[in-house]
Amino acid sequence: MRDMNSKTSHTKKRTFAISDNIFSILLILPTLIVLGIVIALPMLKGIYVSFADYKIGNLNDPVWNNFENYISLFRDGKILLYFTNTIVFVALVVSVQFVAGLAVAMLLNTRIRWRGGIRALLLIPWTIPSVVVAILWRWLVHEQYGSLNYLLYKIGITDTINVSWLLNPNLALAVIVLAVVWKQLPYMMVMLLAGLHSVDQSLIEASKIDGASWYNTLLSVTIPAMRPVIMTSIWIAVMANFQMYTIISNITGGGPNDATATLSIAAYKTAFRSFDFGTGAAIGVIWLLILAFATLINNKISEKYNNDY
Amino acid sequence: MTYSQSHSNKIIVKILKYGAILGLIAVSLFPIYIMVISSLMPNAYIFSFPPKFIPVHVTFDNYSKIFINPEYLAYFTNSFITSTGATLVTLLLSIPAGYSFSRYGFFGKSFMMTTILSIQMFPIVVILISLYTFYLKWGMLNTYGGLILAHTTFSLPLAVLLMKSFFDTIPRSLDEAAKIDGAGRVRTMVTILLPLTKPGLVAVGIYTFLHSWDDFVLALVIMQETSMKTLSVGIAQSFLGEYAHDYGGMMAFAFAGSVPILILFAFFQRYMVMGLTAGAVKG
Repeated sequence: MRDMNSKTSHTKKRTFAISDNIFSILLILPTLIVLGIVIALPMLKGIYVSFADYKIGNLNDPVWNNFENYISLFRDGKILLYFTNTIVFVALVVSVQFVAGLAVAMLLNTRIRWRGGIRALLLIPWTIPSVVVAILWRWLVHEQYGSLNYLLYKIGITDTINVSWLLNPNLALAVIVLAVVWKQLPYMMVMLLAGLHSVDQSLIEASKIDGASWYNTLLSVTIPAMRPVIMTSIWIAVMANFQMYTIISNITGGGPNDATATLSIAAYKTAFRSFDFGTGAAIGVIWLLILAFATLINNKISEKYNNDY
Repeated sequence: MTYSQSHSNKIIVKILKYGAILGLIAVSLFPIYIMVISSLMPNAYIFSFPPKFIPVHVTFDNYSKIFINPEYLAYFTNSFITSTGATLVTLLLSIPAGYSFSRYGFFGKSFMMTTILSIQMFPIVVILISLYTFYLKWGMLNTYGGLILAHTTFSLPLAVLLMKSFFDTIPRSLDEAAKIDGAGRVRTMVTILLPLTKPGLVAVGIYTFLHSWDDFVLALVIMQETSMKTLSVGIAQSFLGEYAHDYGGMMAFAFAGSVPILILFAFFQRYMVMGLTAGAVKG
């Protein structure tokens, strides 16, 4: 604002002067156009076709079909299954990732040597492409020759070597959660580490002098002080995993028997395997409503905290 | 507590700490180690019990099989073209946008920023369903331009936010000084401020390249012709077909597909971390 006032005198000198206001919009315009074409337009059309009979045969004229896509999704109850699968998957991934990420970040935040080198080594899994992560983990849990499968048997966690991980609903879920956490943990760790750095060390010292134990200090000083970073990193992780398609699809494909079919897997399969674009879009719209609702709650919570502190 | 007691306690804590760190590194790198050693062994040794943890009969046959296959080489080329293209276009768009968000106050600014950032929660599949039909109509399926545009779009929200936060770190007194020296707005942005955001440019560039290289679902739908497929899709599909029972070849292909990113990481690790955290901590 200060800038705008001070600049008026300068712009007057030009022969053809565009105001700062227009100049600033011009700079953003290309971005807005691209986002409009690739996000807004398809999004609006997606919402529209979710109410239409829109299959591979009539790509050029979607026909309004009285909520039939939505009705059919609720009629066979499948949508509830997809929804539950998504929530379970996201909750598992994000909570495991957060607890482990915080522990690792705290460990790295102590006085250690070669911190940069150690952090770099721990970041490597994050650079591995998602498709590679999926195929790699399928190999690790291969029912006869998988190295991880063998190690788990050797240390006594599984009681037979021939565990068909991907044929058992719970084990299949465990494999995708492990694979996703393995890839994403470095990200969570780096963000929480940055958060820990931003905590005022004198607060922690003061708490120690007052005789607080380390977990009391953690719960009542460190975590509240880094609450904004924690909220942001959890939110980013929730959003990313709601979208998660690549790793699930390439490990289980949603199986066995839809046990790991999340909203994103189901929407994709409905649209691009069964070529029922209308119903696929309807799954997406339901998912968008859920996220919008979650955002509303999230904002309310952070508002409350902002008022409290 | 005597001095020597507290001293030996400290040593025990140290040993535990470094032990834990060593364990962590081992767990994080174990899958990659398995990928690499599997890629270096003939299938007869990969499919043997118990699984090998130290490579035997090391050979590069699995790799040469990939690099003599023109179809697979095309996957690499396609990935390079799209990722590089998406990176350049994203930078081109996000620099002015980030500058504008950082330096100007205008009507609807905060609303615009919130909207741009909330894009990441839109279900990609819904967008993809209609984007597919639009692209079909516009003749943009199976074109580099089509995929580059899609990758650019999904990288833009964070790229703009990152650029804004990097411009924010440059003091405004610099703008003022440039103005007094008679530099216009465009010149101030391009020749004075831009060089100072170099770390930001690298961070945004790397982030976009990685994002584009990693993408599977957009490329799967937009690039369906064999000659236009990217690595992610190529790897996933050869795993279902040709390589279904050839884990040695599969692991070689998978590792070769990860190497370009590993090289980038080796050179630009610092900037990657910067990019990862800047958005979260400042935003």
